Amino acid sequence: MSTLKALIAVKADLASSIAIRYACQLAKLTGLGLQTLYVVKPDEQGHTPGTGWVRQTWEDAMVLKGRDSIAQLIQAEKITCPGLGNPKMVAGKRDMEILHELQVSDYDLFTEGILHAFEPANFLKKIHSRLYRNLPCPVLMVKNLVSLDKGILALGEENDMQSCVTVFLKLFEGVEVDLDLLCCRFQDTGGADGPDATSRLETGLRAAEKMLAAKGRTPRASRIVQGVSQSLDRSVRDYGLVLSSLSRENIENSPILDLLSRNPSPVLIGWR
Amino acid sequence: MRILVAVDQNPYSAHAVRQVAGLAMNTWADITLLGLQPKKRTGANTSASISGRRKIDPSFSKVMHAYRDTFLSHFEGETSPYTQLKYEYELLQTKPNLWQEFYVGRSSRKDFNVYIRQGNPVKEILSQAGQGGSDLIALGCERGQACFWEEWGNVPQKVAASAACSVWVIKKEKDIKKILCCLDHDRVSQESLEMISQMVTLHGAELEIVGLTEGEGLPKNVERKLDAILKYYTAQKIRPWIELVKISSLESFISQEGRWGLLALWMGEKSILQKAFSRKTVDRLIKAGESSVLILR
Repeated sequence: MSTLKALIAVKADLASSIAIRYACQLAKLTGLGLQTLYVVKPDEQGHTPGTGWVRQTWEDAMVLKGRDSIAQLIQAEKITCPGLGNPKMVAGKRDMEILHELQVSDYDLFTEGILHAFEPANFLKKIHSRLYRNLPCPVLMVKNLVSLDKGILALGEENDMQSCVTVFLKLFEGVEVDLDLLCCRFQDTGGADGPDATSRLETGLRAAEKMLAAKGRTPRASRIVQGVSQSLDRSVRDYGLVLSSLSRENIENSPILDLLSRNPSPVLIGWR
Repeated sequence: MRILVAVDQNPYSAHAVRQVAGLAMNTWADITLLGLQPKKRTGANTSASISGRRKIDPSFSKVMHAYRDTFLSHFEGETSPYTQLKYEYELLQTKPNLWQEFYVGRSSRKDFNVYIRQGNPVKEILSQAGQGGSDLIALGCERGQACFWEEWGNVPQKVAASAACSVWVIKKEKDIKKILCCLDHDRVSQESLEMISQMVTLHGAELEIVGLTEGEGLPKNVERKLDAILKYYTAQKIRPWIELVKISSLESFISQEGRWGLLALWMGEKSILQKAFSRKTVDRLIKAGESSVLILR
């Protein structure tokens, strides 16, 4: 079983409840270790009183205040997820504290809940946030509580497929799970037409299949699709997990990002 | 549950009867089958028209019998909750150490009544629903550009707008493979949750629950309700998809995502759907949409 560890950033809300339940499902399948983290916000103006023991006392009081609501959330989830330990609780700015925890404790995966929305503004805001731009590991954004029995989709353009497979092999090592490969050519970005373009897509797909074969695995299905990102929505629906990789440098106007923002399945993003 | 199925003589009504029979198989509801007799069928020179007394049109009566048989054919003999009065001899204790044999009639466990009414169909349907204490009115119509009743026009829209109870407008021959439920308040009855659960099970459909928002996110009470609903359905082995949609984008969302077989709207007193979904909008959804519509009250 896995020795990987995931950090789940939680709040007292439905999205976090869904994220915990989904992560527990993943942990049962892969042996992934789970640690929840709750960050208590400072006051509205962002002031923290004093220094030294005064500040420490204030922080302790803030943590205590948040503890009850999160403790109730975790306690409720422990019924179906007994391996879920007690949450770490810190006071401070959320993104900074999460980043700090990820860096000092060497996690393999960062997870948080984000309810899927018709308008993708919230999803895109997260992707472009300072936290996400500096994440040292892949991120699992849990949008819905879906069964992994629906299968996993590795989605990418021709150069991304191997990165996707790398993330998949690391997380699902030794685990029987259905995997589909989908290599996309987006006309939004003026992707070239013609046999050369198709040939490059096939090359990308075959390279991904070869990586899987080296680990004794075969995808359930391998496909190439072409079109504008909006027309490809149906190809990526109804999966238990959609796995992709994004380049931090070229994230603006990324058609893969556009597709992921409209997809209601949980998405796991690796960074190139 | 008490279901009123309002029918005329057209194929969409026959489809509605079959759909309700499927639901009743799982819910064992009390059923009222209400036929609205077509206009001007008594004939100009019949003794009925001369005397001023209306008579039942024999051909419509046959249609109603056929609907009854169709409905009851979904239930098997002895196990049917609608099996009528059954007489048999039974020994019953009348005094200590004394038993007497009686010829006893036992009625069905659930009611199944057939009525025919004449007149304004909307008025008659609402009147029957009120008298019978119906929880759900079900009626069919054609799928596509208009959801009319032949002869009477937009009966389904008017019933949906005016009924005090839930209304299910069943579009003919549209398979229900996906069900969309829209929620914006926290007063959701157990009966309505169960009705949706039955629909999902009956049709093997996927369920999506839309939380309607006015601003950035859901109000806390609605979020808590959504969490409770998610847990309820998960316990029923149903995994609904959840999506947040701004009220202002709802019509656009529904028209773009027109892949649902059934659109369910939880419209309670506190519902902003009542304001956002004006009567005109509900009419439009029922009339022009491809999906069947379930107004949950």
